[in-house]
Amino acid sequence: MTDRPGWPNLPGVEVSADLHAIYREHFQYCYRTLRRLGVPARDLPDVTHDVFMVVHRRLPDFERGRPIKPWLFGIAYRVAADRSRRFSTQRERLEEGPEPVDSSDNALLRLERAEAQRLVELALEKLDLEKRAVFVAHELEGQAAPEIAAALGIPLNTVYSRLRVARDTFSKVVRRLAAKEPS
Amino acid sequence: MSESELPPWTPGLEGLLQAEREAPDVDPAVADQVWSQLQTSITTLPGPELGAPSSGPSGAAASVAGAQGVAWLPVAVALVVGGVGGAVLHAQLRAPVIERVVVTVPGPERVVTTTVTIERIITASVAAPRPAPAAVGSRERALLERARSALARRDAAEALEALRLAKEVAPSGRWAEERDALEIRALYAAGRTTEARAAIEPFRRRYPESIFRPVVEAVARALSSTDPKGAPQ
Repeated sequence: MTDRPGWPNLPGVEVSADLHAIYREHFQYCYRTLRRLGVPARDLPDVTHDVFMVVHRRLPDFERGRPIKPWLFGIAYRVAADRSRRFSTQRERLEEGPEPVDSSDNALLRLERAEAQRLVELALEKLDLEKRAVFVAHELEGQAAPEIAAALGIPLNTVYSRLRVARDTFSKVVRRLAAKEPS
Repeated sequence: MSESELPPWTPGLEGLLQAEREAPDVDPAVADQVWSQLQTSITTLPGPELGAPSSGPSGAAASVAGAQGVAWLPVAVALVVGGVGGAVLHAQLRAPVIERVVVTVPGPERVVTTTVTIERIITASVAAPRPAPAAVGSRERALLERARSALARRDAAEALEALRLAKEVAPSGRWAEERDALEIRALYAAGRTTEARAAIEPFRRRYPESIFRPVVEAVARALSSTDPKGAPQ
């Protein structure tokens, strides 16, 4: 499954076929977005399911000319926020760990990359969900600020202010972790 | 403010973000399983109300049922089927924890970290921490990047040379921990397994909570599966 920008060209097909096409194109995007928004790994399949249930429900209202990714991001954000309000994730995070280690050279390279990703994850955890969402959308998914504003239903200036604070926090946390300085 | 006014990331931070951007996709089998569950959820729900507005994005089945306002039996069936299916899927997808490697955020007790070179550890001669000037730190960092890049190209000799220069530039530098981890890995990649093996235990003692520990432990595992004097497999 690969991500594809823009709305899939699916004229005259049933909603279920639309949903399937969107799912095939954007499952990976939604899944990793939820992960980056802090949904624990063990819950990702269930929460992704919830996201696509909302997509299914709201699809008839979606304006076909609009880019779909920001729309999906907005849904994923709200589902993650709702879940965050209902559950504490701290204990679950502690139960997670990197993938099992093996001993090949490729594994070492993968470990190094996983190590970088883990550092990013640790830094993202220091951001509240509102700032984290803006940061993820802009810095990791490359979405433009106006798209983010529309997707999250917030003013453009709020996107910029959250992004500025999030970038600053992220940078400081990473530097602190890398430099082994105290929190 | 506009996006063009945002300051650029430093190479190090950009590298971290790039690693996350390039994170591998989840197993397609997961997508298939979620799709099966989604189909079950959708087909067991009444249809016409699916386009109705909802006050919340989560609890999709319940929201849809609420919009319908009737047909409790299908809703109950949907919830039961969805719940059972979700439980089964959850049980199937939950990966067993084979090995847990905890990356611990360094605490205040590590404000002053005595950094030493591997050779000095072996000879039990511990150097005192020494602050490095900004220019030295920058040079040290660049050399580590060079070593990383060389390792990615499987050029262990080049990596070891860059790490040697990094030691010269800043023997007790800010990035000594990362440098030492890279050196263990580079020694292993170069087939200098005896030296790699000798450096591992001092690294563990010196940096017990290192975020580079998974790399070092991977080398240790690789070494344990090879002959002590053999080349890496």
